[in-house]
Amino acid sequence: MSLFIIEAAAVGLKEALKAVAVWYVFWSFLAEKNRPGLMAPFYAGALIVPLISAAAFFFLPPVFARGFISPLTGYVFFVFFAGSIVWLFQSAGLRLLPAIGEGLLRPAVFLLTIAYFAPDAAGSAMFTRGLSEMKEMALPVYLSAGAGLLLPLALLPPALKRLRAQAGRYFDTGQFLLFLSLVKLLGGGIKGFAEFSLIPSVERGVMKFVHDFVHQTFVFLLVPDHPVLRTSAWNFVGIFFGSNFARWVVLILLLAPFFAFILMSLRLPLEVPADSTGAAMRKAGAAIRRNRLRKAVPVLFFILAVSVSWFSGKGREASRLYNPAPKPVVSDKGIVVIPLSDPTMDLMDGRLHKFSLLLEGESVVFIALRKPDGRLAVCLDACEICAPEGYGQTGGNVVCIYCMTPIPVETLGEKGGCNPIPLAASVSERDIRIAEAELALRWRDVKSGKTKEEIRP
Amino acid sequence: MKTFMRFLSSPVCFFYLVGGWVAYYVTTATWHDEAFALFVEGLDKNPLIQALFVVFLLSGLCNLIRASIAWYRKSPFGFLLRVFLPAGALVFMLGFFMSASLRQSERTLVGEDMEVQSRWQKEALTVRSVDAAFGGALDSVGEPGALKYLYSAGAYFSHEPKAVLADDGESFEVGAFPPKRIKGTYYHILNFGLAPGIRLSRGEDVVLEDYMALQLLPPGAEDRFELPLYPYKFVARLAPLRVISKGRTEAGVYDFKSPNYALTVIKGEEVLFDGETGAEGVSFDGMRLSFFEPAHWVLLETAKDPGLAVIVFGLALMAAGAPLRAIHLLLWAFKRA
Repeated sequence: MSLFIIEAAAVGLKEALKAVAVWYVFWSFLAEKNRPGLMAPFYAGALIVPLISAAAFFFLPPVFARGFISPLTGYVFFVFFAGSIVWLFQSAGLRLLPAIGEGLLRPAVFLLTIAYFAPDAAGSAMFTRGLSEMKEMALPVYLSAGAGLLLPLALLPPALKRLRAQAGRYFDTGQFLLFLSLVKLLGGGIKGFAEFSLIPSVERGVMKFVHDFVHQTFVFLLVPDHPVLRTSAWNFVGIFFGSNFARWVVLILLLAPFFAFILMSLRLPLEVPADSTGAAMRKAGAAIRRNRLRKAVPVLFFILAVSVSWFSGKGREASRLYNPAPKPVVSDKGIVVIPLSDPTMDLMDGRLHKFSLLLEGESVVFIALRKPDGRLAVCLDACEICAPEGYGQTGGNVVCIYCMTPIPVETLGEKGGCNPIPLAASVSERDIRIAEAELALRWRDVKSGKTKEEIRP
Repeated sequence: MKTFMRFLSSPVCFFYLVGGWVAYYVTTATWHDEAFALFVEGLDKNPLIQALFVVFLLSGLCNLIRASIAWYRKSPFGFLLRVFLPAGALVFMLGFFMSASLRQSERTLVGEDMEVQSRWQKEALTVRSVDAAFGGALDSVGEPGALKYLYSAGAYFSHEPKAVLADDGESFEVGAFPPKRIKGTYYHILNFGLAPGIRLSRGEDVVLEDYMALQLLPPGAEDRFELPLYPYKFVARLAPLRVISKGRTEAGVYDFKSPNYALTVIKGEEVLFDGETGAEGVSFDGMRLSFFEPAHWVLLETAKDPGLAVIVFGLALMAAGAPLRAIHLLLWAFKRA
């Protein structure tokens, strides 16, 4: 079976499992709180979601998915994540929120249901459409995605209802919001196998903050951003810009509020009834402690799940790729000239180098990389098939960031498939020269989809 | 006022200020690439962001005082273990704010005998000498006289450049890091390089003679320059006297007192010269471009920043406070167990 049919089924299955998991926990939570009436606005919101997905599927261009829906899914995760922290601290004794009126609850549930599910569903629908267009097999892809989506939705809820509302005992509002954010984090990606979860994008975003903060601190401390330091000092500075340091800081930033919540919960005084004494008081205290421990379970599970996901391989493929920021270049009389080496780079060092040229207000990115045979490959940072999200480098391959296909470095310069589109460039002992017209022509072909037409029989 | 101060010193207020900033940052970062840079710019120029940051610092201070009193009453030893880390963080944030909003800085490219005077300074300093950090890596191939350098990738940047600045009375040695504080201004070197001495002649007449500050280091780096009023473009890089190969490693021997240059002379679309030359230079179009002993230049960054010392103090407090806090948490955990 084609990998893309499996991918379509996996995307559908992922969305279905997310919906079923959220539905079950919400149903259990409301049953425990004796508020079953709030399921109605949840179902109403859930009915709107397919309509939004269909509208995105039929009317929105792919660039909309990249430019709007993708960041929106991450932002929704943040909203629920922040909300969970607020509610957890509220339950730990910090009075952060006023009481929410009954009249607001039902519209809030309705809108939050749409906000939670719609971006993922719309993004996945658009991804499935893109998959069918890319692989020119619409019917098998749609059937596969539909089966992955509908079968679990039909089969799982009746099975789960037999379990009754067991989960509800572990959740208050804060824990439930945390569960929602965990589901979002682990399954909120909209790029199929390339990015199943939001972990790579969340990690990238927080690492960028850490990097920017460290860099700004060094600027204020007048540490030169240039290797004129003594080697020992430069190596010390390098620790703070290393990916290991950033990865640990990111994990601490994400998990610190939850450790703080657990500490605060354990330290809260036991509010036993004032008139109870002796055994009754001890019983009441024990019940409160048991309840607190139960309510800490989802938080501990979140900490564990995030920690395991952080250090496991699959979810972070994209963030492991070496993907340098493009250096801006200019053209002089229609020719772009890039020296093979200067104080800040050496094109023959075997690492991926990226450059960007502004053409008619648009940034065109191209890459240079020395191949094992010593020759320099100069290509567009885009291929004939995928959306032009560029390439990263890992080991002896460059990897298409959109579809995560590894391309052996030896094959760079060859046309076709997921290989980066080769550029006609003149490489001398000193520099690379590329005609601006060549860059403009190749980029126009990618944007217009002409490269796609060339591979149709 | 009392109510306001009570609210300011409450954990709720501090939580909202921090949470509000996180929400602002994530919202900006989601839809704009350089959220943190925008925030730092806001600290410098936006009165609303500055005011909110001041409120944040005040709330942090009030919360720290309130918490410190509670810690001290519970246990003076516990107070000592706990206070340094949050105090350090608060001092660091104060220094960060001061640097972002009050800092003045300039970058000046200077060589020997030039003056450096930033816009806020009343007096200039003179650059007495520039040591471009070749010292300690001299070639030992046994050719006396000229300064030579056995360069292979990585060896070049193992030494820090220095410049000696002087006023009427004192001399000051300035390196790359840490910055040197001279009369309230911080100085340090951001970059350095060679400035070839260039002489353009027409027949016997010298029409132009000067130093051209180029980025020719590390050896092999290429830079371009033009001469005013002349229609020529020049591309230059240092050329080795000779190349030594040992296995797969290559190193070049370079003379930095009287260097060889790989030079390209371009006029319009035409290449007038492309090859290597020494001090004698090249001839083209009835002109002659020759070279004399290069000077060294450094890119000096000067900064007037009251926040720098505060940042350093805050970092020192946090460095001391982190292990103390860890000890406190361990003691608390043992006590509960």
